[in-house]
Amino acid sequence: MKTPVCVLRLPRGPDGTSRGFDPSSARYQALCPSTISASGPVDCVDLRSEQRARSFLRERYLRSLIAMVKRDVKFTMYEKVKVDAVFAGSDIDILNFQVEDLETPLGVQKEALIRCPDVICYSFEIDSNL
Amino acid sequence: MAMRQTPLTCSGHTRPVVDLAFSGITAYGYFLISACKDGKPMLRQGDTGDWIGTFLGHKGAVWGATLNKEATKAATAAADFTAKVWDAVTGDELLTLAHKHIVKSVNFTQDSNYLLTGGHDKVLRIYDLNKPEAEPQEISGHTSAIKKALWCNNDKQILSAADDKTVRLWDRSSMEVVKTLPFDASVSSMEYIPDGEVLVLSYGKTVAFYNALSLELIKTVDVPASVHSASLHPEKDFFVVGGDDFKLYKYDYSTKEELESYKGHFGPVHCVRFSPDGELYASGSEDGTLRLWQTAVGKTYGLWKCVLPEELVSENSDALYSTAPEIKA
Repeated sequence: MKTPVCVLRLPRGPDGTSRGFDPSSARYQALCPSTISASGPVDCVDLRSEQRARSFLRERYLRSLIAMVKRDVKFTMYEKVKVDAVFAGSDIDILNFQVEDLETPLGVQKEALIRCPDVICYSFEIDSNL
Repeated sequence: MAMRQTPLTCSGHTRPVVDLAFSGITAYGYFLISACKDGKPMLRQGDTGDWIGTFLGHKGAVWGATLNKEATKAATAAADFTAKVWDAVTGDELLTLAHKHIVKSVNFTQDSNYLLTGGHDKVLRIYDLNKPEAEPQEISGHTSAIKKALWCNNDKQILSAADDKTVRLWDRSSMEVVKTLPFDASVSSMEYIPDGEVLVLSYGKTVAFYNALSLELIKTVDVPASVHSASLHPEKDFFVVGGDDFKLYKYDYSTKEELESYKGHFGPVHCVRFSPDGELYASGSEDGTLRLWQTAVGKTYGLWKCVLPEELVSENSDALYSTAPEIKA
């Protein structure tokens, strides 16, 4: 007698409350025009230079994340929390930072995940020789 | 060890599902759109069947639905005498194209710049989606309602099937008919495979394969029941058939041998299509459901999980039916 193939779960159906097309899905975020509207009156040339500026800033930010790997970072977070840790990496949406040797009042956490929305600011020192 | 096929049932529609189409393979996987008589076509993730959204706006049964290659746009053909173009990421309606009668078929060109429509007014229309207010180009010739119209030969030609029992090949630039294939019965479905230029037609209890450029017959296969729809695997190993007897049949394309058949639907199967990677095929039925079927039964893919015999009898079989552990970074 044949055994039926196992399934992990059934396909998800409509949620009944909305028409779907979740704006927080990865595809929506990637393919939809930015929800941040242009800073001034929209005209083709302005939009292009603004977009160029955005690209430049984003690339610089991403490079700063790469430069931060294996460095000591000081995080200032909500609820008057200030912690030190060694930066290991970020997820693709910059929603979580992976850190090592996180110094907490409870001791040093070897590996931890810091939620970016909880962070107010962070700082680290770059090697002036780089 | 042979395994029994477990189809995945996608619910949500409340009336018969009459058409379905897959997108190409995108960075986010591939997608599936289903046309339903309830007027609410739905977009689903192609490999799992998970519902993504419903396109709301049509005021009548939706007879045809399609996605562009990148799954960024969708088009639907409905009984409300309109074809609509949608943003397939946000679900927003982009265009409404008024017609003079029920629209049955819609198809994008590879570059998504043009939409081909066909329906009960017997005229093929080509809309420039960058100039939607402009009048569409019209191609007349069919003497009965058009069932399906598809771009072919790198969007240089058009294939159309109508209730006048003909399939016609048209040249897009001259707008003239190049060849007409007459049949004894109405063609129930048409599928075009660009890679290899194969045209798959079904009529009566027959599935026929043609060279899409010359319209020369390659082969025909007779099946047990009246066929509503047939689809050829991208690698041309198999083809699947669905029809009046509620069953799905899988055949070997080279030997024409019937390999598998499945009961499952509670009504006639109106449409079947292979996914772009050939790993599964989807069927839409009068019973209002879509079902996903594995091409290679037992393989781990999408929601299907290959379980080794030892795991089935072990004490730790809780992994079987529970959700796979989701690793949250």
